[in-house]
Amino acid sequence: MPHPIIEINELTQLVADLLLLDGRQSLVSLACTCRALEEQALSTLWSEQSSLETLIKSTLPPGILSSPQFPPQVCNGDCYRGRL
Amino acid sequence: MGIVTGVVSNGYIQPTRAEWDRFRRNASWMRRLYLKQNSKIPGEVLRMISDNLPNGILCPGLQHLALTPKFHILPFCRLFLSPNLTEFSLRCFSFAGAEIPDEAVSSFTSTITELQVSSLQYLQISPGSSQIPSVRSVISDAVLRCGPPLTELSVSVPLSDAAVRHIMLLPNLVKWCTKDGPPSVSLMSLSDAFPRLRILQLLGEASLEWLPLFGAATRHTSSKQDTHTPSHRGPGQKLKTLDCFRVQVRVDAAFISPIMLFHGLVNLGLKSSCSGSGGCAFNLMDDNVAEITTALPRLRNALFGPPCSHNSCQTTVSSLVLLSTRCKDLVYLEIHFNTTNLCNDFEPIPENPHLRDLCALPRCRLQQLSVSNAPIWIGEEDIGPVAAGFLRIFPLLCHILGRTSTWVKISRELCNNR
Repeated sequence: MPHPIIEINELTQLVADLLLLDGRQSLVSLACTCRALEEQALSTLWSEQSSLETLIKSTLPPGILSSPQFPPQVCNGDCYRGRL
Repeated sequence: MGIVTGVVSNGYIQPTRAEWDRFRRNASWMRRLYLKQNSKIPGEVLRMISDNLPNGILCPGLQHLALTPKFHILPFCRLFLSPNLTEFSLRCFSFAGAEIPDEAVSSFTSTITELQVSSLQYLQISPGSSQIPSVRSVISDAVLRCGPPLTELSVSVPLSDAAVRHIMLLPNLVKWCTKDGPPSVSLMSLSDAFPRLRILQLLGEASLEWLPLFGAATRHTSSKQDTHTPSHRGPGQKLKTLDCFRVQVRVDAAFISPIMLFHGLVNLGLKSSCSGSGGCAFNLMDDNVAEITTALPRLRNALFGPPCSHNSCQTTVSSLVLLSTRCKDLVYLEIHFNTTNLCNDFEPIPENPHLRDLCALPRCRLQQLSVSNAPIWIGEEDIGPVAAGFLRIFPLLCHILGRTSTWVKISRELCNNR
């Protein structure tokens, strides 16, 4: 049973927004820490993206990126792999 | 459309069902996406994604989408056309002279056709070529489908007259960037047009034909109604920003005349440049500048085109004084002024008969003065006095933006003299 304060969406959104300022890795950590906060953390994490590479690299299998046209260093999605 | 899993196809390992579920879940949280031209996603991967989307939309919650795709990505742009979009930008670039492949044109037009525009607040479309009739027609149709929410519209190709008439009546349009000349309209209908337009950006010579029309409509409205009530002002009087891009135009009294009716103008940007062989295109004189400063006292950023190296213009330091004393909000200025006798021109203002009346007036808060390619021939010993002269006119001046080392030295000297 999560603490009632975690069920206040406005508060958890504020926490997620503040963590985003700190860096996306903090949101990944938040999502992995508490299931009650996972959705808020992930929705904030994915809310704004400057490419699709991160999404593809972090959620689809490494083989999908094995083509020489798509070298592994193009994004930092690896840090999320297996965690999201 | 079946869900494909766990096999190798075309050199790519197919994701499992769980991986697809996670992929789609994360994509569903996207609200803003910027897909740039340097994206390295192969078309095959996007095709695989497309084949595994049950409803054909990758990011159903997307609200802001900006695409500058390579041609091979264009067929997949429809994956991002969420029904919740409020901002949409699609810009394609082709190298000069290079033809856009037929497949790319076809994908581009399909994307625009499928786009739901009725709820859009921001729409920018730049197809990379204005020469393809089918593209112009599809974009015109999309514009005709735009509704009252639209506040910003930028289209880099000429549109149909019907589309332009529709734009004129959009009730909430605040910013419009156009390459079109006006359709044939009556002054009466124009005085009711563009009810909330504040920012007008004109691309190319044809679009400049709007200026006299706006001017005429403003005169027409002023003669008929109480112009102190904002809703009764003509479209020109409500403008706060006017930019003219990619134009080769002679900046003279006739060109400026309609603009001087836009009394609320805060930002004026004439990005016209003098051509190397055609001589200087800046034909204003100090008297014209005096009229401009009286007509447009709210100017904050005033760009009259980058000064050229011909140094044949007839405006002088007097124009700078006029601008400083009459446009109190000015912070950025770009204007031709003749630098042939700059040292003499900076003689103490009370000794200059043209400026004597202005010397006691407070000055504007100008911080940057762009002199671009303007030549300057002064010795090292004159750099300090010239910098001091500029500071007498613009007491808060921080930077003079010029191309020669002398201008750089004068700019540095401003700090020492202040």
